[in-house]
Amino acid sequence: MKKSLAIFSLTSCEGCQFEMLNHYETFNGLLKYFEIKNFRLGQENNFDENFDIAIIEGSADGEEQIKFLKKIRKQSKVIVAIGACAHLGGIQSERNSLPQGIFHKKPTKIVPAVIKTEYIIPGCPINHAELYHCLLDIYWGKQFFLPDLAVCFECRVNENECLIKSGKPCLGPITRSGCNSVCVNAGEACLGCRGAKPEPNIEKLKKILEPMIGEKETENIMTIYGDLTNEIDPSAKK
Amino acid sequence: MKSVVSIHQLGQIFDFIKKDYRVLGTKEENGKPIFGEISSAREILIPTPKTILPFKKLIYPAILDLAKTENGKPVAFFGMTNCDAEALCVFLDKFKDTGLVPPFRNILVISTTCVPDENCFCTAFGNGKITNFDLHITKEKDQYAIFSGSALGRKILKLNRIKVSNTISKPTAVKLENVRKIQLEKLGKAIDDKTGKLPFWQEIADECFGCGACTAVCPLCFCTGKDFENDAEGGCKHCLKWDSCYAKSFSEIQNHFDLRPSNVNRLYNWYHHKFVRSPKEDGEILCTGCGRCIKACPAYLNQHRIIETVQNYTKVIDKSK
Repeated sequence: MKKSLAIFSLTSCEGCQFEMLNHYETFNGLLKYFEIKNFRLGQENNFDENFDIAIIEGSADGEEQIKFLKKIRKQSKVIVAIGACAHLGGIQSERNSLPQGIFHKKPTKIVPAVIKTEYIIPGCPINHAELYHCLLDIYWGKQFFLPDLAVCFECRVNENECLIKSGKPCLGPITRSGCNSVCVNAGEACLGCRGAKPEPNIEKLKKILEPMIGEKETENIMTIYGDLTNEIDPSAKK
Repeated sequence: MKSVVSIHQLGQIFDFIKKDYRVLGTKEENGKPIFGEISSAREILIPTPKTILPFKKLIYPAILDLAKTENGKPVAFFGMTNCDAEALCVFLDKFKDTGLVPPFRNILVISTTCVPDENCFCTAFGNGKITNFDLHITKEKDQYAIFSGSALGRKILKLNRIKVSNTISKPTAVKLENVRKIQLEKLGKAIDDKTGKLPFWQEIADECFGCGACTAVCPLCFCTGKDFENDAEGGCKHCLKWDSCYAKSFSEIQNHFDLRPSNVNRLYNWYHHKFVRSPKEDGEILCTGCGRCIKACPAYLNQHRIIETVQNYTKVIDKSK
């Protein structure tokens, strides 16, 4: 029997949804198992009813979106939050650190802070294979786990030299793996879009980065996608 | 037995081996030395620099599909350093009953001279002598000196009509400066005896990220996790994936109970397995002193320095930066 699936978007760039559409061939196979009931970006006929799985992208901004999130929670059995915005706050969460009243009414909120979330697929944008396996695992009733090593592990498996040792500030050692170290493979440093791994040694990384680029820049680099230390791992709580 | 050949003759030997073997070796790709399939003798780097990943990525890949069966062509390593050849022996011995790696008799080892760097410490375990090879090649100006170390190696030289001098000569052992010899028994005892040394391990664990980079590059780290991946066709891929004992999920059992609850336990386990448990099981330590872990560590930890200092525990951690 097919399960009903809904895909919603809150405050975000919608890049994660495009990542799904981009890998259309992969996700097309999933239509055997899922019926898409609500997907504003991808189809015209959308329904407002109960869903088996709701995929939510983006962070909740303002009362309206918080109300919307709570409504989806009541309508769906399983919530999958995707992307760095839903998981960590995203770029827009930068304003949370500003003094109140300067910019916006209220700080933006991550999805797990508003409603109970069953699964989180991290990344900016998400790793499409991870979401694909998560959805299949949910369908077959299997527990889905995120990998819990640091990006450094995958980075060495892909035969990259350590960027920190060549003088580039990189957040690989504290960031959760699973992205196949795409950024470092292309010569760019890791910026921690997948959030911190379990028990990250942030103190040590600060000790390495601060002499390299200064205290302020270290703080900046660690908060690009929101507060890394504010890791909420729903799969560990169960 | 030593014989001197030209580059032309070396190519001839290569082509001879290529006929019967899948030839793997060290070549240059995108400006860095890596292990890979070799198609011509010109690609092989002699003397051989250290690669980031050791040979294990070829015979025991990061994702090993258990349903796939390899074709039976034997493997020849053409161009690997002495420490890797040493590690290959231990590695294959550990896996001899699993059927996952090619059996030892199907592997031809042609080692080459290495380019030691500042991280190497193979002589600390007395591994400087070059012994584990069928053929060993060193560069001598424009020519190459070939030493044969087994009956198979001698046969290959003979079939290629290469003259072998009768005088017995051995390849010169690796010499490293500033590397003191480590007594393995003493080291094993020092690591096994945990009482009073907890502050030492805690101090290192505070500096460690627990990222697992050292386990990824170690030629003698072979722990895997089993993985089942469903696909949309209704199939399920059953594979072995490289795992690391630094991962939290590696030591976790039911109900999220962790047998090694913090990073200090995992770190201690790494050294304990390499220098205590493994020698007890089959007499071989799981370290050849290649120094890959030192280079791979993003936290500037020096594993060589750590095993040196654990013997006479004093508060020392490498803070080179």
